Amino acid sequence: MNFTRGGAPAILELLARMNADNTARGMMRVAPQMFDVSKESDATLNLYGLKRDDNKSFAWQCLVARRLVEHGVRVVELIDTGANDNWDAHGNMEEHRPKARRADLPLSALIKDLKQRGMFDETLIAICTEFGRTPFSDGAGRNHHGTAFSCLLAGAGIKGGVTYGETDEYGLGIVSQPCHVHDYHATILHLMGIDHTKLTYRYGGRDFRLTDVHGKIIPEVLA
Amino acid sequence: MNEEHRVNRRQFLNYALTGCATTMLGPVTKLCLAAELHNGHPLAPKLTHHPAKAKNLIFVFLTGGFSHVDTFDYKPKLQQDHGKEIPAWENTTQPAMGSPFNFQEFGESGLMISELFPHLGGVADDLCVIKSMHTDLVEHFQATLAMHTGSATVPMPSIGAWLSYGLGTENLELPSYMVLCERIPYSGSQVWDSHFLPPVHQGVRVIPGDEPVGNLKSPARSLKLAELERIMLHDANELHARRRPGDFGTACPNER
Repeated sequence: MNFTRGGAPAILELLARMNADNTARGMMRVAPQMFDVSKESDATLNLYGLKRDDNKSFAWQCLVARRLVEHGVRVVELIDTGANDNWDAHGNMEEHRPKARRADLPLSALIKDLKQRGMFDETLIAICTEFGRTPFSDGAGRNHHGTAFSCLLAGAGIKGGVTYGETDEYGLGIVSQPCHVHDYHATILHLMGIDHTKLTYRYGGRDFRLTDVHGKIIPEVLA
Repeated sequence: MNEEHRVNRRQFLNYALTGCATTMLGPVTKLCLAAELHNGHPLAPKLTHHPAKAKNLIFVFLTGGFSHVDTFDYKPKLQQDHGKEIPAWENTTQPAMGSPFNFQEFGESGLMISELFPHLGGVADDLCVIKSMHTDLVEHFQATLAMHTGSATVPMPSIGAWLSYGLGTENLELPSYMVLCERIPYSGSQVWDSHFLPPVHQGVRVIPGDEPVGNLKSPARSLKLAELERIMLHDANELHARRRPGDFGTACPNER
């Protein structure tokens, strides 16, 4: 039956509860299968560098991301570490090495896996961070640097093997084609079929959007 | 009670939807059918503003601010001038620090990537490196929020929540936005929050390990029993709603 058609007011609270029940039931039935990678082939597990009993590593996260996208989850986010012991290398740049070792192979595997399953053309991958680091030292490490940093895009609608924008000879400032965080967001939304200036929500008396009053799509990165 | 007898109409619509996906019916018809199929579910697929290149997004957040000059933005001059004073902020200088990592060209495109990411180097020809990112914030909590929500001052929904709101999702048995993270990031769950958007768009956190999402295992003895109970509850709710069309007062009397 349908509670919402024909202009009659729906029993909204009950409908919401029934939707929530169904989602919870769907989660109980489907989600455990999503997280169980034991039926993946040896070839796939090897591609990600994942041991069969591993249900925790970043490689597991990347493989589960593919499985979730395969089953229609619109947005999957992977966060590699937490608010400590992360890429925040103030003391020593060598601290980057274990983090990179953890992320590098699984991320490349995710791209290869999506390609071999024909999903790379309809999945957008954004690999990003919150800011970069100074070209000068802070001990043997580097300090925070918001003026210039690098982020990646790959997959659906993205030109591969290209760079966009340029920093100066030391990587301190931007000399051409700046891309603000809002521009990055606008470009992602564009590729997902959304005009970032039109996706609004009225709250507290005005229309809000992800990019506020900013954001421009970066056409040069589009395939 | 047999599930198959209950969903004949739904199955019909499902077939119709699958069928029309490959035939001449326009996108509007398809989406109307999809909404019908999902009983007007708030996460039912929605029409895009223009044809989408990407159906899904995988948003990978490497936490803490990885160094661009040690990964994807090769600066030979920085290597050469290691130890020299170079211009820094507002007429000050600082000693340059060359990268301790070696860079090499990868793929036909010849992207320069450091030894930290040899495997990503292997797929260099699929990568677009934006070397000119900039943000207004240089503190982790704020910059992490900005990267997710565009704002570090006013609480705003995450990009994943916005996309869920704008696009709906294809599988209503799973959340539209799922966040896999073992440890809490800077700014905590605010980074996947829906804030003023309906909470159905909020990211669901998945914690890698033995229990990725809490309470997925039913307390009922068997799945069969749990399923029968669920169907009974659903039917009771449906009957209740059908007998009281538009009656808000009797919808959930205990909570009013």
